[in-house]
Amino acid sequence: MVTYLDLINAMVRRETAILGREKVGKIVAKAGLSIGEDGKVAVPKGMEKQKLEELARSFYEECGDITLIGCRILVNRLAREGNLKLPDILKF
Amino acid sequence: MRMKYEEPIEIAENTYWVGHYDEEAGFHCNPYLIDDGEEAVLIDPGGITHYPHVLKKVIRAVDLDRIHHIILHHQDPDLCASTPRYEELINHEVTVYNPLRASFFIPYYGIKSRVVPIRRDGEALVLKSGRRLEFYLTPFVHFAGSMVTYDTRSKVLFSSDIFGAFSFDWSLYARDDYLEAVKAFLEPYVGSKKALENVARKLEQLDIEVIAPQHGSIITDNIPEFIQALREMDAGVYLE
Repeated sequence: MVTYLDLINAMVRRETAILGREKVGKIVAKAGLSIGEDGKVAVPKGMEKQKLEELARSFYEECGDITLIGCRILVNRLAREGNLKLPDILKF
Repeated sequence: MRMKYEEPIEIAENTYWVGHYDEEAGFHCNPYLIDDGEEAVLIDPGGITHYPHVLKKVIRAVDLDRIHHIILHHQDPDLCASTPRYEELINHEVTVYNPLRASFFIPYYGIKSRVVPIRRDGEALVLKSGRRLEFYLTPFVHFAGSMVTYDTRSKVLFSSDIFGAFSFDWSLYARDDYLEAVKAFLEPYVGSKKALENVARKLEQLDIEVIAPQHGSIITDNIPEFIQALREMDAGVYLE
């Protein structure tokens, strides 16, 4: 079953390919999160949906529309699989 | 070691990347030049904003008057718009190769050269040396009139937008996670999975050693995996 944490990790992986590790690391840290050695983000339980929105907003604010264009289809597909509601910033 | 992006960079024998590296940009264009002795071929020369940088590199690589052919893989400004400037500088007629369905649009850039519309897969530009550049149509990836060029001598596929990518953290050659960047670019710009599958089917028939896309980075490793990924990718209207 797809979870919000899966969405966060998919988005971070995608943004890393677009923006590079360094930039993404800074944005993730700004949201109070960190990326582990396995490339996955640790998120406090219950905060996943909120952090997904925060991260999407930060990617957009730091690096513009390309970040959202580049991950929307991926995130929407996963959300559909998991029957998860997305924050407006990630919707089409 | 950082590559000398200020110079033309040879990506295969006598085949050069002549693009402009803009460190601030999240999107990079890759014009290429094939120097085949008596004749040179300019591939997707680029837009107006990069033109002075690209021209400088083209001149470093070849005498402009050796350029006899310009290949335009579709009709977008980021690859076509500077073509009339080259026409002004080259002291003889050049021939432009462009997919039939795109060829109705490129005259609006002011392109005056004779245009050879590519109608079928396998049509080719055969240079005086015998080198054969084959064209393969890739409809709706991303424009209705799109194609790629396969150099049968160097085994370089000039793939246009296919395998292009968004990349703030750009390098001329693809890094480990490049496929993810390709997906970020193709998913929102290609209309359907069927169009991607059609392209995959065609590319699987070619013996490709290097993929040189018009955006993003050059691919030299795991080429079959990249082609297979086209079959598995989500695309455009999938969710909208």
